[in-house]
Amino acid sequence: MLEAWQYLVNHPDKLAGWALEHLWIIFVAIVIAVILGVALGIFISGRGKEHVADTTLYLAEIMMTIPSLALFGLLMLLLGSMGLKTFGFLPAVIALIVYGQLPILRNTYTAIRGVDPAMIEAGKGMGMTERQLLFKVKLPLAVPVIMAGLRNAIVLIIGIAAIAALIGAGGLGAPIFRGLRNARMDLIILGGISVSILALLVDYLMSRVERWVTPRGLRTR
Amino acid sequence: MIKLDKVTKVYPDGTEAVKKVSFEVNDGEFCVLLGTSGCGKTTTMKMINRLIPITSGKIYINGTDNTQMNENELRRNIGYAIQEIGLFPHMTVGQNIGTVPELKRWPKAERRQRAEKLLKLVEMDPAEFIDKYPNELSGGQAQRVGVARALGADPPVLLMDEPFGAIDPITRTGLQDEFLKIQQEIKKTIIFVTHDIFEATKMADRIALMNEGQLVQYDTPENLIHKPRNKFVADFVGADKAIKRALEEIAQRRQSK
Repeated sequence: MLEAWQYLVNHPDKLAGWALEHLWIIFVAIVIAVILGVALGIFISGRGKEHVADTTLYLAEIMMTIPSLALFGLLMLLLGSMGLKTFGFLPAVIALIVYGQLPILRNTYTAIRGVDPAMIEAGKGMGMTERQLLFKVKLPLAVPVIMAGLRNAIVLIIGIAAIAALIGAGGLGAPIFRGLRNARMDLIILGGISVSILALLVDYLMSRVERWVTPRGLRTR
Repeated sequence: MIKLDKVTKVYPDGTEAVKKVSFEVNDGEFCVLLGTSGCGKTTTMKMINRLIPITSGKIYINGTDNTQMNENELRRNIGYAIQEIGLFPHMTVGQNIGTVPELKRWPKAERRQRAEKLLKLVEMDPAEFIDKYPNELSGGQAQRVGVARALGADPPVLLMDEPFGAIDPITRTGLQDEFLKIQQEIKKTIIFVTHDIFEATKMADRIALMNEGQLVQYDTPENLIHKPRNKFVADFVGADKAIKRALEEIAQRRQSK
């Protein structure tokens, strides 16, 4: 514990570098995951797409059960066969997007499907088109639940991103794995605690964002 | 004028919800669709703004077959107030009232002016309420905003589906009185659904009494009470003498007004 602290005092720049790397990977992954997840969630929540929705959610759930190490391995094979980089940033981001999908997708779908039918009838009865109904009624009402899914995804991804160090993506997993290889307890503890602190910090930040993007009439005071 | 001509609704499972219902509502008239739950009154109303597609028959609004109009245009020109109020919780009172004006692309300032005017009409202080959210309103206030929203773009026709249904009896009586006063002023063509015979007698110029999908009698409240067409109507308006007496009182009070 003490050694970990000493390492931090002596090499703050190194820790900062790993943390930034970590943040950058999850940031890129989460932005793409949100765009994909929300768009797909909206798409499968449409009328008459119940089968598509079931299948999609089921697939997303299966993806979640693939151990991250195996997924990294699979991605290396896949990217390699496409002639892309099999190491570092790209496979790491792709894996994190996959893991971030389910909470975002599921919450978007559930939230939109769960909008009070009275709201939808009111909107329709006043002459809203399907599109207006989506953007003026369904999505604003779904924001709190979608945001909950997003926060879920982020915390999950921050943890999994540590493993991405194994395929050379860097981040806070780097000191952990180096510590494991060299029996350096201080590095393992430093990396582990940093990941947790990062997750807590980002989650707190997201709770502020959540409040900020939630329409005022829906906020719980 | 609204004219229903042999309007029929058969659901895919074969249920006949509405059977050859025909009646006319003149401009400025207050028509109440009355009946027990499941009698087809709400289905009939929702076929007017095409929330429920018609199976056969025709509905004319000022002479135009409503299936010939663009459904969104049609709905934007018919005010609609629903049972559960249905105010959008993520919009302010002003934005709620301005929903249809916004769909009709009125400029913002005009929408706000309209909302202020309508709040005054339903006896709410615009300065106090226009920027509030629905979760800051009482049930009665929300219901008034619901009525104001239905009047948003000044539509000639209003459809109201038990708009005072979820309100406590005392507030309800107040809202009814107020709404009648408002109607004196705005003279809309109104179709109002209720299962409450007292409410119907109090509000209606004419009542369309429905049973099992059929229109049983379409008449003034007075005639419904004094000249019931058959036993069903007689039972509905006053199997119990006390009910009949109360209804007569309401009807008389109306006439003396």
